[in-house]
Amino acid sequence: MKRRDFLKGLGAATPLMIAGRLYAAPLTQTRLLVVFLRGAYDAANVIVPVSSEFYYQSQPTLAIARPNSADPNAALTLDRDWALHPSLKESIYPLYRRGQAAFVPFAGNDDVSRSHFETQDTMELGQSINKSRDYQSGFMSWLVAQLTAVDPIAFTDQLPLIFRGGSPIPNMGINSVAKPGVDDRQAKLIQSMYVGTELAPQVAEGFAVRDEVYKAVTAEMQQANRNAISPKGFELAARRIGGLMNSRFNIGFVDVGGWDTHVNEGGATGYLAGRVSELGRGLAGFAEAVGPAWKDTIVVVISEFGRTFRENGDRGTDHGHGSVYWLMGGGIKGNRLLGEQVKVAQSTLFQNRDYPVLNEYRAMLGGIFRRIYGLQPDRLQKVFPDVQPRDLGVV
Amino acid sequence: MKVRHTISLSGPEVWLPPDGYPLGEASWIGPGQMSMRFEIARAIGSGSAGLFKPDGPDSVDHPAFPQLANALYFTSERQMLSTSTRQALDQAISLQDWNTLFLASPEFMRR
Repeated sequence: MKRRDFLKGLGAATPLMIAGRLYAAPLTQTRLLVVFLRGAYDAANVIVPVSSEFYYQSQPTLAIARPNSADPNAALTLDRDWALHPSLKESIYPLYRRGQAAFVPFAGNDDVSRSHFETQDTMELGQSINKSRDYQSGFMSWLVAQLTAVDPIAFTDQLPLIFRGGSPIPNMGINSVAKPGVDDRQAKLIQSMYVGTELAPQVAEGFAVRDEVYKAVTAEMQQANRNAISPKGFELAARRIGGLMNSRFNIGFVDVGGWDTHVNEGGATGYLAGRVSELGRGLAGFAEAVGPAWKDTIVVVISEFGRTFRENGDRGTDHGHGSVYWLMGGGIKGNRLLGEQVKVAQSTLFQNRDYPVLNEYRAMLGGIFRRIYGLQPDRLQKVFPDVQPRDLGVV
Repeated sequence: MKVRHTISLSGPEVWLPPDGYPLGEASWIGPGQMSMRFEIARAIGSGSAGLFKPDGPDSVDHPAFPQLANALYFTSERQMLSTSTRQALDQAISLQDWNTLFLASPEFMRR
């Protein structure tokens, strides 16, 4: 055997080393966390178009008041036109002011079905909707396939569509981590039954990740017990994710539900305010828990669509189109709004009811992936076919 | 309820599509889902999960775990299993352990 043949063989074998993925510290410094707000969050009442008179006419009971330092329920100034929901004052607003958070208004995708399920699928597939699509293949699994030295994970009970279609990617619901009932001896015996079957990689990966996550979470619980307050819900999950992405994984996905606010949505306080506050505390907690790696971390917050710009008769909002996405990270050029914008007025609404989509999410993410991973155009085409990446100048 | 919860952890349910549970294998074989299946196998096999509790407020839990290593197994089922499954089963240290491995075997993963 010649060295050349050996190396060639090695190169060919590497992508197949699925279950043999080494659990060493990742070589790439970059960490990417995608947060999917399932249910379509009401972007217009979280990143508020305060310069628009039309906004205040359209939302008589839900609107967030214009910035006013004397009013704790007023929005927090982002720039001349936009302001932030007051429930994010302690969490996201300081990050924004430090340049570690930015927002992309009028963001979204071309799917106009206004169906949660269809549009979530569209986003996770990342394929053009007017062509035939592979419904078992999500764009993050394609992203993983283009990269070396990546340790992906979905922090979800089920493997989401976004991560399906490529080599098996571990998934682990992060809020419900319990001591495994299947012990090590049983795990070994179970694995031995799967040797040579096509499920072998999933089984091996499942046990490996289970043990690793359990170890990390128990260590965290011991630490947390010394502090009086322990976080719950997404804040707990996000802190755990931060710890795991500091030490072990570098491409993560998590979803957060509870955004489908048709009825009694609330304004500066109320239901949506509570969800947004928890999300903000979670993401700020993630930034803290990921530690020194925060400077190399990018967090992208997406949602399937926005909501109707006018509130409905039940003091809520219905299924809309354009949304506002969030970008965060210790090393980004934040403290600003990004992408194409139009004046928020009745004349600029999509179908006279929703925000238009001016910043297509695949072009936006493609631009980010190109920057942080140095992906060449042909590789980007494999992640998002037929999409021209757009650089927002954020990383 | 307990059963429903365990099913939701091993299958897709965060956003259950209106047309029911997906038929495709990919929706069910994520690594975390496989681990959860084995936890369920253990819960059923060892009778520890309260899965056999009858309805009603004062009902008593059936104490026993199912006897899967029975005559039917030794006369016919065993011949249908793969060598590696049989080898693993032969190393079981208790009936509960045997049940767990049996229900966690590759033969039990597909309809």
